[in-house]
Amino acid sequence: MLAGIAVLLCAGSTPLVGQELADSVNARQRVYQSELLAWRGAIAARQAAEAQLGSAVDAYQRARVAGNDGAIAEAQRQAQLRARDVAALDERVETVEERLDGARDRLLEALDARLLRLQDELLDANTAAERERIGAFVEDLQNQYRELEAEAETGLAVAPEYYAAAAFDVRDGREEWAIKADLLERKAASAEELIEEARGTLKRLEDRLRLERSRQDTRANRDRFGDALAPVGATGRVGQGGDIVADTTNVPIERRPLPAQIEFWQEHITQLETFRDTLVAQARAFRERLNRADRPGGER
Amino acid sequence: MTRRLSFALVLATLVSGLPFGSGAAPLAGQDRIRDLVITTGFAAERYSGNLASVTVPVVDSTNRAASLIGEVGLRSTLLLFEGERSRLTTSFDLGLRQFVADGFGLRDYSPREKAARADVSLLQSLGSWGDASLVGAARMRSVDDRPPMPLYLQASFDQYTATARWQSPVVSDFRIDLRLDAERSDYDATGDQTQLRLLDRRAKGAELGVTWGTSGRFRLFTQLRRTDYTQQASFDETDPFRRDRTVQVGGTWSYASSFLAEVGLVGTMNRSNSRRPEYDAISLTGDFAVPLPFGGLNLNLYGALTEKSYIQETDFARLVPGEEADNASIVFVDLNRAVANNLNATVRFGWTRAETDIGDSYYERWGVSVFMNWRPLLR
Repeated sequence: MLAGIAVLLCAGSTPLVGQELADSVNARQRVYQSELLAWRGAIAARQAAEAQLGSAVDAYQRARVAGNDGAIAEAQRQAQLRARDVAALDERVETVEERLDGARDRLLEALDARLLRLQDELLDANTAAERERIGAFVEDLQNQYRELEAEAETGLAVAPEYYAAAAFDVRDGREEWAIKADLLERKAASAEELIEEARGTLKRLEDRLRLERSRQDTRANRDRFGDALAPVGATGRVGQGGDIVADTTNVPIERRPLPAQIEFWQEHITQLETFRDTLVAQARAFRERLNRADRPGGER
Repeated sequence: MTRRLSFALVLATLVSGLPFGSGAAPLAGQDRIRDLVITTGFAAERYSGNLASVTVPVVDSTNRAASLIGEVGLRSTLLLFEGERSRLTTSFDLGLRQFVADGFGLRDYSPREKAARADVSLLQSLGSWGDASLVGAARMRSVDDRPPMPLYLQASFDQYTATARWQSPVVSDFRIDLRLDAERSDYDATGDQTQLRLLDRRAKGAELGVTWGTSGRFRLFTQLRRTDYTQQASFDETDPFRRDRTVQVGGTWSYASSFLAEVGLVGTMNRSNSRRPEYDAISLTGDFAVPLPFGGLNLNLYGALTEKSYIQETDFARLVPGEEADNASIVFVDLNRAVANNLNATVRFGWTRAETDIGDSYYERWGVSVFMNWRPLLR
């Protein structure tokens, strides 16, 4: 339809100003379409990463049931990595969304200007056929304008990401809805366990940071004036080991400075909470369907 | 001149930390300042003993003295540059301590200590070759109205050190490190304290260590060191100035989890072109930080014990009495608690005792201090 509008806008005996406006609309439509594709790509990548996070949570639950410490640690590590992927892709989606919003705003401006011009042309039209043709343009452009305006207000709908096994299917009935709700609730419970563990780790790190600061203060106040230097002679400085951590981005999280570790775990917990909330919301959707079905005259 | 140089270095470091970054990765002010702590403190101390110090020109008849002390301190670490594989930081620590001393026979003393330390560190990842660091540091202290013993305060000096360190990657849980350092220390021997120049020294050292473990970490190391005392006679006409060679071998165990601990044992063998300072020594240190189960308190405990054994027995005072005792014991116990998220209060008890074999002389210091540590940038 858009291509058709573009052809129509470019065609005919439109004056030079109208032609420029039509070109502007066409160019901005192309940019908008390109940004829309990029946005859909980013959303798809994010959903894939979220599914991988879900698999990591499943692996964690299986490892816990099996009581396999090595597998638990590996699943936790995988969950951290996948949560970081989701976080990175969230940022990507946000960036692309900003660009898409900008492209949409610019297209709306161009459509607005083009519609004003077409209304003038409509008034100046000499024949009924010409008035009908221009009127059809205006109607199409107004529809497009309204769609874009609504999209700007409400945002683009993102299809909810279900586990493949728990995806909504029109063929499902009450039994399938109940199974899928149970499955999603169990996964949400597993995610909650991971969150609790992560919170425990975060608390330990925060306590440790307080303790480290307390020790730093103690040492600084003791060494500032040399109070811990007994008069036993200058024997040099010995035993000054400790890690040199020059590349903080490429070292395992547990070897990074404590503030960086704390930041990492805070972000990780936020990601897991978002993930858990999504699962809970999806399970609730199935439960609501079940409730509606249980009412007299409800769904099957 | 060296004093002025020290101040200039400290100032330069501070100034360089603020606007630096035109060619570096952009960093916000909050990100650049990694830590900023303002400390105020009050203390009461008691001193006793008959240990003489040749570096203090005045001798008082009393063996007991006491003082009330007020102090302020400011320290910070600034990130000057952070790249993908390198980081440049600077840190400084400034302090001022005012004593009001009591108990001396000659007159009342009001010593004032000023201390400054600044360093610049470049940390560089070498990829599969490990990590390296270069550190340049300057330290300065000055004491006005330095009192006689038994109130022992270190003399005024300027000290400059340069350190290069390399650390291997972790291979089978082990990593090796190598450190090279050079030091220059010049004491303020002006006025009636000319004997302080005996302590001027130039030193060069190399240390090789191996570390393993994760939360509980062991490190074994050995250090070779050469120290030239450019103003101290060796009493050997063919080799007139004292020159020491020191070998140290030691190990540390450190643990970082729900509590922090560091225990170290170091053996020292000091040999010299002068027979007097040849000794063997052993030092045991312990440093613990433990959260207590009540009142949100943290306990910090530090203890050090050093014992020396001279190779050559003599009937007269060795070296520089007061600066080099035969043994020393130090204990500090700190109890601290967070008063607010960015403010903690500390009560510290300290005890130091040093002894020499000559005349069974000793020096002892007892003290109790209260500190408030404020981190204004912490929310």
